[in-house]
Amino acid sequence: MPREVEPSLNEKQFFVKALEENLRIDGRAFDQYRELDLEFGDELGVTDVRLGKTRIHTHITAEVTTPFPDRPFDGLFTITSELSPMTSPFFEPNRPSTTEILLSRLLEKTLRRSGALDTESLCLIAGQKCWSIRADVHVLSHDGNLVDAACIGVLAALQHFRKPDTSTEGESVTVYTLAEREPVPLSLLHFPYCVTFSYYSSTVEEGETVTLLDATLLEEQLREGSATIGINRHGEVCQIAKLGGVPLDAVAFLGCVQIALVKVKEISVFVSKRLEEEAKKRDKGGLMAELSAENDRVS
Amino acid sequence: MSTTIAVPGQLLGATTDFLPGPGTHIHASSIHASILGPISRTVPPKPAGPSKRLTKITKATPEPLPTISIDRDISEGHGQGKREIIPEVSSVVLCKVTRITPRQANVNILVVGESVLDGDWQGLIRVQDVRATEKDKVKIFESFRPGDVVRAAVISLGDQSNYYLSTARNNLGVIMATSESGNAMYPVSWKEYRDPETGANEWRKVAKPF
Amino acid sequence: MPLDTSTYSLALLRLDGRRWNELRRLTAQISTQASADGSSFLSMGNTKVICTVTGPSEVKAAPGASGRGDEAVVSVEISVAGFSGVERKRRGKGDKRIYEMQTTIATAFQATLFTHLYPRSTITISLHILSLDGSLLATCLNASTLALIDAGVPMRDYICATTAGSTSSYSSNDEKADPLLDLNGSEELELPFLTVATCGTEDEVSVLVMETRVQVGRLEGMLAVGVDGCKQVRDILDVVVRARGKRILEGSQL
Repeated sequence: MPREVEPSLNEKQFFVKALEENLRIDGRAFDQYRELDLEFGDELGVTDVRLGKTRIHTHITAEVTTPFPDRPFDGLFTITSELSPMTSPFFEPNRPSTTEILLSRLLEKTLRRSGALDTESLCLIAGQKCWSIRADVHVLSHDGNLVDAACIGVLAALQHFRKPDTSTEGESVTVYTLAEREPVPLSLLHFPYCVTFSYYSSTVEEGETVTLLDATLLEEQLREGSATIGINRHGEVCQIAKLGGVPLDAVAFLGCVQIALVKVKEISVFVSKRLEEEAKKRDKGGLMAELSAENDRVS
Repeated sequence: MSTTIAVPGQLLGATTDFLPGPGTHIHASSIHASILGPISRTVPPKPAGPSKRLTKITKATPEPLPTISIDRDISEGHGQGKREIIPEVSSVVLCKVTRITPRQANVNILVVGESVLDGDWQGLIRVQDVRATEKDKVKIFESFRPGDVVRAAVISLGDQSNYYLSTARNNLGVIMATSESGNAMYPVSWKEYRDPETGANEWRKVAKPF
Repeated sequence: MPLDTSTYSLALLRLDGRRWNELRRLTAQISTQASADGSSFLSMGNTKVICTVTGPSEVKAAPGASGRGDEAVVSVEISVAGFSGVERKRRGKGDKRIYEMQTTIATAFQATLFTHLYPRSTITISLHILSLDGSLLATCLNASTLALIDAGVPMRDYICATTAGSTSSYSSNDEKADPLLDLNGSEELELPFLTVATCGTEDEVSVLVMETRVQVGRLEGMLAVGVDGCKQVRDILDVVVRARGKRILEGSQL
């Protein structure tokens, strides 16, 4: 396996020097995200998230399968993430790297274990038929902060996706094509987004820790610790992962959670704005409201 | 003797009072222990008084600070108090051949210098380390046989499991050997041992007798 | 879930009879295996872990091994015994949860050990989980600390870990919820909890992992209880380490 190229001594020193002068290499403020861009595909449930140079493509698909015998009332929701050699020559297919495993674990914890998608609503006939929703996350370009970007991508795709409408009569299920009935959106209970903090301590004077948000690849390679906080806009923390690294004061950490909450609210607003624009574009002739059989949700 | 134990992270003193020695580290301008072990303070020897009479007033040289350090756990012998002797580079050892291959001979090191070891250490004599000349013509099976006692010098601590040994000197090589029929043999030349009963010769890398 | 934690509010006692701020019985032994450079056995309640440390030793010449030139690399192997849980389960190598724990422990100690003293070498921590009943990551971290001290690897300070939970479920927003210390296996299934590890006596959080949903306001209480629990753990470990130190001292003076 080829080894990842480490930043050179010059790059490292330049970065450290800049950090001492309260500067980041790309000129951002410490708590500023890179430019976030969200595009939707022609198909439903396809998103393309860009966070600076990081680019992630997400695709949602649905199919009817049998549920697990121990959970007959729940549908299936799987997230698969892939870092292909296209992203960087240091990723090999069929041999998951640490980055990849941690990414998929974090997405799993943030989105699946916190119950963002209501899996019970995916049940068609208890114990026999259910929807299986699958989110494929493809990293097209890796310039740091994959987790945050992937999380935005999956959640936006889930909101954008429409599954075919069905009707159940006794033991038989009819799945209607797009032409027959307007497809229905998924039932999402809350929207947890991830915010990743990077910590640097030995670069500055002793006892001080610099905290950066939305680190680039270089910043990620040089960091001495990181924490990913998954939180929704109602202030429910879904997941915290500070996996080792440089120790951080407990009070400072609670501060990070508050920052994460603010950032997540911003991201939520951005994503819903983009979704609205997209809905308007798709809503040709304003017929959507009449076609839809959905009740309005209060969330 | 009042020695006390320090545990990792324990505060030992300020950097203004001591110099940090091995097994300690500085955190927030005070010295902390970083390993488990007894604390030792070494006061530097007092510099002898001024060698000649002072002719002008100079600033008094600052008193050298005592060094504080943590000793490593040295007594694995559980109360025997004896430090175990282990082979070091360039020490001469006696060892017994356990296994030979065309490329190397595996040995158990039994004696280092004058002292017999408690346990045996694994050693390795590679084919290129058997003798100093005509290295390319050396054959391990014409130099050693399993069961031979060999005097050798340690050339490297080697990998994790083996010391690397060499017999490339006149006084190094096989010092005790038994023949194929099981009799103790005596050396007849620099590369031959002879069985006193059958009279057959066998090849060995023979150590020059004293 | 058949387990009912609602009885807690009646007597303020938990399922196993503890109060909110009590640890389970924590027993630790150091230097348990003669063959390893450092070893320990640690049990927190019914979670039992054996830890052995090898190294610092030479980097194995495996291609692609991320042996950095200027400092030692900490690598962690966790093996879960088939008989550790209630049901016998075979766990494959590819378990992502175990892998995540390995990386967590490795990066936590990478920052705390003085790895720069041992360039081009590896320190291997092997953890064998004999019995599972909650607070697994915390138990593994504590056991690793002891084994590393036994191995004589210089470190900044102890890493001590524990878990902290909250009696409220995530949906309810009641103010009466109490934080709980050191959850057992059945409590972990039921309640939101986090694993916290601190380095040293100050409240320096080295590891913080939470996988369940909880209100942001509740986090502070849980974290405070967890950090306090770490101090209790530290005191217990300290006694064990000092007892070991005393034995060394007696040995060296004879």
